[in-house]
Amino acid sequence: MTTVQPSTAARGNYVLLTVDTLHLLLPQDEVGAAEYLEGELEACEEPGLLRLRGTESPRRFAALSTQMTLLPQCPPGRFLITPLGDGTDNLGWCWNELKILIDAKLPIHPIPAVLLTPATPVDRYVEVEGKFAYLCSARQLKSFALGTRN
Amino acid sequence: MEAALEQLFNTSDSAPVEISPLAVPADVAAAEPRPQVSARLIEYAHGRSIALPPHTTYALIENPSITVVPGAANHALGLLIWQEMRLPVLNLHALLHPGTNTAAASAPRYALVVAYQRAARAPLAYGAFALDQLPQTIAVSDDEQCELPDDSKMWAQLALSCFRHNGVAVPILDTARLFSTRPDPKRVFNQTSAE
Repeated sequence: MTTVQPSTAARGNYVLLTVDTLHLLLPQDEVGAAEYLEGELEACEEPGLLRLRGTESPRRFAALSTQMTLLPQCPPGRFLITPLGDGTDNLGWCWNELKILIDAKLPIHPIPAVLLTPATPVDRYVEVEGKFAYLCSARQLKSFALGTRN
Repeated sequence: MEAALEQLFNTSDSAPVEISPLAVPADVAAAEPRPQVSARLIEYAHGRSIALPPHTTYALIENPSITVVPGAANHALGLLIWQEMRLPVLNLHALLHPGTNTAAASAPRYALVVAYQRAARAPLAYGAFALDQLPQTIAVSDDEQCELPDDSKMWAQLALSCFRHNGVAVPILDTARLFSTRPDPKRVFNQTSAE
């Protein structure tokens, strides 16, 4: 019996972001300051994106499914909001939980290639605090999630 | 279709015992049953089965808990914890018949853990198939060998041989070919903070 040995480790500051059963690990410098969602979200004219109900604010929001696709509405419990990347897109991402990991050293495991396609947004995972989290960059997350819009 | 079924399914590492041939009348010899070997018969969809050499099948897990991989291939159900490893779980129907509706298999009753080797003398690696029916063990002989069915383009790539069972062609799959797909070289994970 052999076990797969991790080939690399993720070192540094990371943010563990959770939506339902999906955990994503992003470099901390790619996740903006967190804030609480103040109000209810509703669909807007931009496919897949949401806005604060009853406001004219240009700010938009996005809620992920566990498949990293955009949901047409924000499920209950997604009350934490962060921008991703440089934040210039004025888009807030909705999370159930968020945890900052300072100076983490996490063994990285590859996802078996047979599961992947060229479009799969994740290809490695870590196990952190008993959770199974996919390593991802803000660019990958946004590219995949926003690319699934109709 | 080069290998005889007896060779594919024979799992014994011991040297065959030499038996002195006896003079047997031709008509008696013709009536002698052909040697049979065991095969694991796996029904992956109604009326559709594949077979595996028994030594490649390791464990059967009931109601497996499978972690979804976002944006994974259609035939990929996700990752399964088994013996401190995370194994890829495949939906054979989706893999063998792309484009068919396989939503019913997304929450399988069983996961069959199978072993394979990426290369000769390489350590064993493991993967799993999602199943809704328990595998059966059947006896197969060389005279049941037949051509591959024409209902999937994947057979030529994945099958070692084929035999007829209850009137239906059953391809014998190579687990290494199934699970040893190499990553797309164009996919580069751009994470500068990983060492």
